[in-house]
Amino acid sequence: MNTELLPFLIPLVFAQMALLAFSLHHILTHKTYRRGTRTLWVIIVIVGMQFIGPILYFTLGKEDD
Amino acid sequence: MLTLKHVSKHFGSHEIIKDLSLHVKEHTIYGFLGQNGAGKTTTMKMILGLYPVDSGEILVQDTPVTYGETKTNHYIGYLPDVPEFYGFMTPTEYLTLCADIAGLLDTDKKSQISEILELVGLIDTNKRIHGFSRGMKQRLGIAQALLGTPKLLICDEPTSALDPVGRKEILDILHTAKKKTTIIFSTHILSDVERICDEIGILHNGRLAHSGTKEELLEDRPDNGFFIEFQTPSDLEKFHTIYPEGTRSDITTLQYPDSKNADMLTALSLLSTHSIVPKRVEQWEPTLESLFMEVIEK
Amino acid sequence: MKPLTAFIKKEWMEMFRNGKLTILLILFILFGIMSPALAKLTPALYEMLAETMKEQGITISQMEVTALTSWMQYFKNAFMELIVLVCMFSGILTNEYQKGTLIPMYTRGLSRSNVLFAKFLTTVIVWTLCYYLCFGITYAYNAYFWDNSIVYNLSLSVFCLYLLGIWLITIIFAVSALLSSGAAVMLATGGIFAALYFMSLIPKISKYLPVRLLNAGELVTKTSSAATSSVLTVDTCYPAIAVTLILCLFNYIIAYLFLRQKKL
Repeated sequence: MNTELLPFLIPLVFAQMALLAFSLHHILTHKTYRRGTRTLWVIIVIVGMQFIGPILYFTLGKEDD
Repeated sequence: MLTLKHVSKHFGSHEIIKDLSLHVKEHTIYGFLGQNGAGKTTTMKMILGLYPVDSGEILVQDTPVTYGETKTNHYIGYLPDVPEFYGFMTPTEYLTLCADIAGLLDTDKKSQISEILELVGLIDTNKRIHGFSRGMKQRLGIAQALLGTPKLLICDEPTSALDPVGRKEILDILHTAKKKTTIIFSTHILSDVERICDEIGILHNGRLAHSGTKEELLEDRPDNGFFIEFQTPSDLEKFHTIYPEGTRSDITTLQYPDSKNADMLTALSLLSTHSIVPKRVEQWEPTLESLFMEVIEK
Repeated sequence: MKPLTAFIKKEWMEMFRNGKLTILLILFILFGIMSPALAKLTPALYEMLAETMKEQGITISQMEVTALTSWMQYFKNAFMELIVLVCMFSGILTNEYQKGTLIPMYTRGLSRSNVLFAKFLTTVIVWTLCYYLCFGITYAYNAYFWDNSIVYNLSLSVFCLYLLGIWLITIIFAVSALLSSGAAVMLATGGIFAALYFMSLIPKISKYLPVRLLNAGELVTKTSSAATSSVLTVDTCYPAIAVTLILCLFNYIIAYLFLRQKKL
């Protein structure tokens, strides 16, 4: 790895962490989901943490409030 | 205030409303009684222009209602049977949105909103609607409907999903609101109507089976029998030998299902002459079905 | 005017409070970083590939990475951005009918055209914000590492994809006025897109189809006049842009007409 990649890695890791934290926070502060259970969504969001997991959660699992 | 002239409506091949005509006078509470599926909600939605009318005409304040967007809605406040709001807002924010949409002036917006929230008992609630209970939503629904002091308030089954305490609160709010507005409310619970209505219309099979004042309706009310609950089983035994009518429903209760009011008076006088103090003597509430049978037979 | 502005305010409050805006912004920032990051990684990947190939006796010449590599990656990611857009906004109208939240608004006197306009405006602004934020991030990285001046027609090609997004938004609204669930809207929008994609395989009509704009990446390389008709050029992209604009208007009118008749 060369240092040239750092300008990418830092914001990338930062944005990804923010996405993960935001999704997990949303899942854990809601009791009911449109589909699925809490455990299922936590697993999906962590496994697909690049961005697929959160997208799936926010389009399929999140209940409207 | 509100007039329906020969209104008909069908969904598919099923006729919901057949040639319905009625008139509601100003400053009255009009109770719209009917079993589930009698067409109460459909009628209300037609008055609001949410459903088109097949034939006939609806007038609100002498202005005809049109389907889709209707001017008459400016005079109307509406409480749906299951009120749903934007969960991400607080009650104050929601009412502000409603006030802006209704075109209320900024000067009296704030004071009116807090006045109405006070009336429905949500003044100190700053949490989002998302976490509200059924009863709180119903009260917010009334607040929303009362905003802008509408000339006509339409409430669709405002009490049906609530417990007795919640029901009483809602009826009290409606009774207070009567001073300023005309109210139509639908229900399938007879005691709600008895408590606050002035005029009553009974919808049956898409037609108005009966209409008139509350007093007229209550005269028609059938005798429905009564029951006596004794303090001890021995009191019951004693009384049952003196007055051998009625059947036992449990060890301390005697019931008289098909008896007239005169029989109740006889029972009461017998109780007093033999100095038996019962726990309670109560008339059964007539059910909506029995009232229907009575009304339809006439 | 007051009812409209009040309802627009409600839409924005919803965007902020239900987290939709946050999630979209984070995702589009990620997309923006990803294209130059992948371009930067390309030589390293090639080196690894070259080493394994050398063992098998094949030599691969050193690959040169320029801003162009990064922009090509950007146009490849665009499809993903469109999918995210459709997923996130497919329920914008249907969620409200399903819950019945619009009924108090309508009975209060809000007109259906105002509901449509407020929601459309909000969606378009969010899309504009997210899309150009993503573009800006990629542009800044590319300017820092390489030289953006070697790519041609950058603003036009980026606009083509932006317009494709607007077209998808108008489809969501038109379909939402006809259907009643968010999932159905998502499927129908995807179906229309797929149908047009297959239609574009017919050479005669392909240059007029909005899906043609998906190839906007082809605009950034200088193509000779002898280029085949299957490659999008500055001249051949205008018919598709014009048709897309007309279709957007058409979809909006469809949405308006059907929403006016929609029973709630």
